[in-house]
Amino acid sequence: MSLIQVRDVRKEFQIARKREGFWGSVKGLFSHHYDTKIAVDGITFDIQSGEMIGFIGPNGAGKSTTIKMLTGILVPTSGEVTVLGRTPHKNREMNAANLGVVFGQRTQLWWDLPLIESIELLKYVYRIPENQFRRTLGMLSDLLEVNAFMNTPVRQLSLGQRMRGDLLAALIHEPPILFLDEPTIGLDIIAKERIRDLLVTINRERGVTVLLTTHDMADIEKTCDRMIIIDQGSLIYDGKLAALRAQYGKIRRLRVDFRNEPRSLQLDGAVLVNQEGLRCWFDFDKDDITASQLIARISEQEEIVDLTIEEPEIESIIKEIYEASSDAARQAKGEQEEQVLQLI
Amino acid sequence: MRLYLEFVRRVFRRNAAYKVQYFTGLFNALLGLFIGVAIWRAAYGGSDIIDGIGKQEMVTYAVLGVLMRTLLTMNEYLIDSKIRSGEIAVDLLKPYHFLGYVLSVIIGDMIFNLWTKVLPVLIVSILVFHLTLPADPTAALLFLISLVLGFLVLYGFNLIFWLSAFWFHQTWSILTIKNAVILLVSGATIPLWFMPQSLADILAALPFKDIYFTPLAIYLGQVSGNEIVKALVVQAGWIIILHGLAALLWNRAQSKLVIQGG
Repeated sequence: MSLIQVRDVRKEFQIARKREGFWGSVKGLFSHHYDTKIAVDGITFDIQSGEMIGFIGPNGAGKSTTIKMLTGILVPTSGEVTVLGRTPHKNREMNAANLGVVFGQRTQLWWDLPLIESIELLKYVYRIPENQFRRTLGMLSDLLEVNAFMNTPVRQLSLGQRMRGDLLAALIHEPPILFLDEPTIGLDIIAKERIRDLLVTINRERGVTVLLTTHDMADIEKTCDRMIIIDQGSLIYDGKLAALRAQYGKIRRLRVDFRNEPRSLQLDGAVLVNQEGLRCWFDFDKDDITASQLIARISEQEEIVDLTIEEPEIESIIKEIYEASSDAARQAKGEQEEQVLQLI
Repeated sequence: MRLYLEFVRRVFRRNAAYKVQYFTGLFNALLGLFIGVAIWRAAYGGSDIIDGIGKQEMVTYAVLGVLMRTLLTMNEYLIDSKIRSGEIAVDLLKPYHFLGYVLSVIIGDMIFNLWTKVLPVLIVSILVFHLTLPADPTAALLFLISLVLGFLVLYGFNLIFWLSAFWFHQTWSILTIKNAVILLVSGATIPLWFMPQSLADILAALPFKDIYFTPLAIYLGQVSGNEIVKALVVQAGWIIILHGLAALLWNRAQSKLVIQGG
């Protein structure tokens, strides 16, 4: 059986409707009108033990709602969530013992006390036997390299150090599952790299199943094999990162520096997208024309001084997917409105 | 249990990290002490006794009022800030009782207040104002029992207001009003025997007096014999009612959070 099962899960929120103006707010104190907002709209996926998954989507897509349902803090409106064979919200405390959670924008560490104080507190929280605690602490602090600042108050740590401290706190009870919500947010490039390397090590060497949400695609590229994308509460992609690239990222951009001002270039299979003096950019679909064919065609007409081929960034692929999904949603909504108009 | 003791220990040490806050708190308590005593001395003017209460007794009442208020200073925004920052989710993810954690934080703060503010102010009071001591050890013990009960009444009452943050999101204004009411009618500054009879009758039926007035009246020997036992039972009764209400509210809050997502 899968470690985590999510079956057709829906989550609706009742949101008190805000009324306009002063009297509106006064009325709002006494009577309630609710709007239903669908945060998660029937999503299904499975996570196997030992996987490392990037869970992405634009702001408000339903990522944290989903994570909260996996932790048991939120109850799904319908559908079924199972973590290690149990329903999280019915066994919240037991479920909690199997989870490590890191919220990049918050910390569970005691701000004014040395790091070790927060970690030792968790020994009592999870009732970890002393010798097991010492062993895990030794291993993890070597791995995360936190020994140097173990006795420093948390508020004096750099963001990167604090994040490593938070990882230590999330892993000290040796949970088989780790949820990370934007673990690299606000970190500099070196600290980001370091956290990514650590996550990979934790996943590979300690066998921890990792579910990671982020807006930084480099996090996903460097750590995850599999990616789940949700938007507007629906699952829009679930599969290998490489497959996503193959499916969406077919467009390549060729940059060419010419010797002389190019005359009108006749090129089948490529589009001139920009020109600045002697430098031109062409977009082409790698399934229609190979790079060498295109270069050959160009050099038949003009002398090339220099060129580069750019593969699309994963970010632009994701952007393309988000835009396609919101277009589809807008279209669906438009059709609905049209139907309503016809009914009237 | 061990976990909650560990909470208390850490809260105590966290307090020690804020030196400026500590010294301003101590200064505040000393200022309150001298102002409180000065006001009552001025009110007594030339007379040594008003309504059967001696001047020295009243000075003792004022001093003890300041000491109790210093001791019972609580972090009013603990729950409020956790809800607003969303940190409450992290707490709910931990296998411990959230309200046990809150009580541990409050007790940790109180122990810190006791050692670092109440004790120095008490020493100053004894030296400067020649505090009247309790009549005998039994009176002292009964006062201490009533003081602990008074703390629990205040804590239960506060908890109800703190938990309202789950619905109101912003509790600054209602907490400010609550604290002003407590300051006026609980006997923290004005003993109930100086209140107009009609007001005193109303206050006798409410829990406010059980926070400050009851312990202080016991200390000064204004309550005697069976009346003391009765007063303690009333305090205990309010503790049960207020904490019951708070527990009810907490269950509601939890299900609201879990079903509605805050």
